[in-house]
This record gives sequence, C-alpha cells and structure tokens, in this order.
Amino acid sequence: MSDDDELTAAKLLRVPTGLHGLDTILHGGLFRGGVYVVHARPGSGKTILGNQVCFGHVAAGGRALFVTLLTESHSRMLAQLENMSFFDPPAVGATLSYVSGYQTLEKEGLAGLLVLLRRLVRDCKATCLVIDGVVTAGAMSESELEIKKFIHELQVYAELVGCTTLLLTGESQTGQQYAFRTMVDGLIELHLDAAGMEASRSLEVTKFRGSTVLMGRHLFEITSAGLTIYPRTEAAFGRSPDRPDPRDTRPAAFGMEGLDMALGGGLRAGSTTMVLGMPGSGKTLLGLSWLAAGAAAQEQGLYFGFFETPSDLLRKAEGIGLPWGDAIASGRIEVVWEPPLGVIADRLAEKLLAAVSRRHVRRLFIDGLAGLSDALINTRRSRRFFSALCNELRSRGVATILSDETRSLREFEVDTSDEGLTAMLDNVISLRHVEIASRRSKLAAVLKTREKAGDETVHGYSIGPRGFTVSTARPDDRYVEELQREEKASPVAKKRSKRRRR
Amino acid sequence: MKTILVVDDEYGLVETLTELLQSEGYRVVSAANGQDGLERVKQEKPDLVLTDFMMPLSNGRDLVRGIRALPELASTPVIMMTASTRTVALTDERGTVEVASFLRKPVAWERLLEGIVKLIGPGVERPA
Repeated sequence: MSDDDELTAAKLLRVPTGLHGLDTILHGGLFRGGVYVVHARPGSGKTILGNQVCFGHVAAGGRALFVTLLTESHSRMLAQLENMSFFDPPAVGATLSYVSGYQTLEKEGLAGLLVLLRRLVRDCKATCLVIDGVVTAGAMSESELEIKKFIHELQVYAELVGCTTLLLTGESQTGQQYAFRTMVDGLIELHLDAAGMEASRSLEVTKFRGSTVLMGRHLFEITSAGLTIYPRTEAAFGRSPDRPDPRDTRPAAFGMEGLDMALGGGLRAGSTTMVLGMPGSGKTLLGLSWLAAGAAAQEQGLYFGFFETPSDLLRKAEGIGLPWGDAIASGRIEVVWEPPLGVIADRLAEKLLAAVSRRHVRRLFIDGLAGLSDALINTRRSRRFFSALCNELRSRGVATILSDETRSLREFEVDTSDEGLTAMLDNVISLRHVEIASRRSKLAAVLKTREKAGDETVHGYSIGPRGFTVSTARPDDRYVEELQREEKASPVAKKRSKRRRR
Repeated sequence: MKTILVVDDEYGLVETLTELLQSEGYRVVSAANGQDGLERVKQEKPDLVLTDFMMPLSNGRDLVRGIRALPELASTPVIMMTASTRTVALTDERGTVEVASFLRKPVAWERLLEGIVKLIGPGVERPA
C-alpha cells in the first residue's frame, strides 16, 4: 500500500507552554515530543517555569510528570508552589505526578535512569515530562558521550510517544553544557542581571529547531501568577503587516481653532504627535481637552499616564470645565494609571495595546513619554521600541499624543527627552511660558506637521475655567520680535546655527 | 506470542520500539539493516516486519523485495517508516514493492500501534 495521507499525518504539532508571552516568542509553543533545555543560574526561576508548564499542560487536558534529581524535596517544592495561582492541588498525584529519579541514577547510572523515565512516562501516560536537576545527571555520567547517548535515546522515546520534555539545568561543566546544547531541540536561557541598583530577569530562546522564534532577550517577572514574559515590543510588533488605512479618516480635532487650523483640522488617524513643554505649561490639560473633545464627538479615548492619579486628573480636568467625570462614567474615556515604579516597558506597551483594542480607541494620550522611557532599562532600545509601538498604533488607526518635558527653557524647538523618537513623529506641538517686558505669556507653536507646509505662526493660549483655548490671532509684532531676538542669542540657537554652517 | 521484527539502523529507536512493543505483549527481534533483516525473517518467521527505509548495506525496499521472494513468507505484512515525505521510496527500476503501511517519521506511537493491531491483532489477547 502506498498512502500519501499516511505521509502527511505525522507533521510536527505544537504544544502551548501556557506561559504568558513564551508561546508568542515561540510562535505557538514547543513541538510535541521535542526535548528542550531550560538553562539558568540558581534563583532564576527555572523550577517555577517547569512546574508552571506542567500545571498548564494538565489544565489543558494533558498528563504531566515532574522528575527531580537531587534538588529540593517534593514537599518543600509543593509548599512553595501553593501560593502560585497556577497551583491546582487536585491535579497533584492525579494528572501530575512528582517522582525522584536520584536513587536510580545513583545506583544504575544514566542507562537506569532512562529505563525508569520510559516506564514512568508509560505508566503515567505523560504527554509532558520535566526533569529538574539535570546537572546532577551530567555530573554522574562517566563521559560526554554517555550524556549524548542519554539525551539521544530520551529524544527518540519522547518523539515516538509524543511526550514533550523539558530538562532544567543550571551551571555545569563545559563538556556537559556542550552536549546538552548540541543535542536538544531547543534551548531556553533565563538570565538574571543587575540593572543599576535593581535586577532584571530576561528569557532568551537561543536554539529552536523547526521554527523561527522572536530572537533576543525578553524581560519577565515572577509574581504569584508564576513567570510572566513580555516579548520585546520591537520584536513582537516590529513587522506588523501593512493594514488598510482606517475607514474613519476624520481628523481628531482639538476643538481649538488656532491649533486645529495649524494642523489641517486636527490629528490624522494613525498619526503620532508630541506635545512638548516645561512643567506647568499645560501639556496634560491640552491632552485631556483633546480627549474630552473626542468624547463629545462620540469617539473612544484612552488616557495612559504615569504621574497623576485618576482623582488628580479628575480634579484637574473639572477645574477647567471639562466634563471628565461624565466622559468616564459613559465609557467614552478610560484612564489607565501606571505608577512608574520598576515596571517593564513591554508590559506597559502590551497593556496599552490591549486597552486600545478592547474599546476600539480612536484617541490615545500617553502622559508622558518619560514614564515609558524610564521603564526601558536598556535605553539603546528606545528608538526601536517607540518605532514599533507607534507603528502598531498607526496600523490600528489610533491618533496618539505623547507628552514630554522639554529641556530647553527658551527655545521653540524639538527637544525631547528621547532623541530617537523625533523622526517618527508626525506632529510636534510646543507649549511655552515666555517672560518678556515683565509680562508672562503662554505661546503655542506647531513645530512639525506632515499635514501641510509648516505653520510658522506662534499662537497665544490660555487655560482657565472655560477650558484650554488656543487663539487664531498672532501675538503682537513687538512681542514676536523680542522673542526672536532672545532666541537668536540663546546658546542652543548658536549651537544649531554652527551645525548648519558645518 | 506474536513476533515483530524491527529493522532500523538507529539504535535508540530500535531499543525504544522494542520496549514499547514488549510492553504491549509482542515478542520483538531486531536487525540494523535490510541484509541482516532478511536473515532474521528467515530465522524468526515474524508475524510482522517494521522497517526503516534508509539503511546502510541494504535498504527497506530491498528487504521487502527479499521477503516477497520467499515463497512461504511472501505474505508477511510490512510497515515501512521513512523520513521522506513521498512514497517514491517504494519504487525503483525493478518496480514497486508492496507494503501494508507507509509511515512518515517521526512516527506517532499510538498511530503505529493502531496499525500493528489492525494487521496482526493485539500482542496480548484480551478476554472477550
């Protein structure tokens, strides 16, 4: 008989790990019957990861076996797992078995351990096997060849019976590490690094046969939910397919004549706009007013901020007459507040994008940029991170405003805390307080816009009980001349002029 | 007791299949290539042959051709396993050899056992 159907039947199937983020990194999970090494220093979370995979597997209807080799006792390990949300007591001993293989390993070596594992997998009908303390097996082997033979035979068995296997291992001798790395189907490394006074955990898939993965390190945290891994935003969203332009192309107007005129009617769907200004210049109030204008036009808005609590925002918004409380009560505006305390930037990006999708948000105000930048840990990622995030928001048709503090007291120029960001901005709006002839005035200018030729006009703005208003009228000529003179004399302007000459 | 001949040059697979088939109540004998496999067929007269295709000295197709040439054993069912995705492995200039089943590696144990039971029945007869 020659049956082509038979030949296609044995294709590689995926087994989700059940770990948040890891399946995204692996493009769907581990391969059924594959043997994978999880390598990490002590304290990096590999035992939690192994247990989490087992509990996730049995929760999805599979059967799992956790074998230890001279690691902590099962009772101690289970006692520590009891506080984890994935821990399911009825599963232990029923669909998930814990067995020690150390005595067999000590008496009969790797060959004996292999026989034991085969028998256990068969008896437990396990479709997931985790072996913790594999470094012990390596240490008790007589040669590198013996380890290779053990892994090979384990691979053959795992593949045949469809039992996906994780080998948890720590620091080991170079020869053992080499044997493990070369033989297995995949290698997942957990890193624990110092980041200033803090520590950061990251996961990296350095080898994965049969599929591409999201390369590089991905930060993770260990909480009562176990390991939560956040794929790097630029890796997860960096290559979003081109999506059709959003159907709704109405500009997201501010409802402020001066600003809307300068921006061609408002902010285009999918555009990214930076609002720059000194502390107290009104960046947050401008963003809140823009969201409130959207709510009045029945558009969904999202405030994603770091520095002001929801009650502070409410007070602030209602102080200038914005119907903020009503907009929140009606669901037109959602406030997400994330205090900037050691959070992972990719977690923020994920949360932000989830909030955008959940409510089909059309207007997004991120207040402010520093809250995201500070969470990056590795600042060299900045450009790629923001580029990926802005592209994803663009592809979802969201008009986004980012607020940031300018470092310049005197200049109308694009001077953000994040230098990698400016190229991807569609619009830049600057808010300034200027003191001329003993008079303090508020000036707004659109420094960059992709909508039309740059609007050179400087607009006066005011913030009061009747809201945030931007005037269409130019400030008087004497005032502007004074301003220009001052700018020419400033050190930043001189530096810029020198650069131009070069 | 029903006898199965496992022919494969991959030692780990032979060992694993032997253990799994024995646990199902079959008697298992093995060989590492088609040439040795044919000798074992003559000696053991197995109820079924489970063979790899690509092996040194003599491949699975040659083994099947050898079996079909033995008058008293010509009807022995053969399951061939291959890493190839196509059935051309069964054919050469001398024609196409007849096998009961052609499975692609990696072989799923449940599927393999199902095929074996269908061809020669279970290893241990269970009471009705």
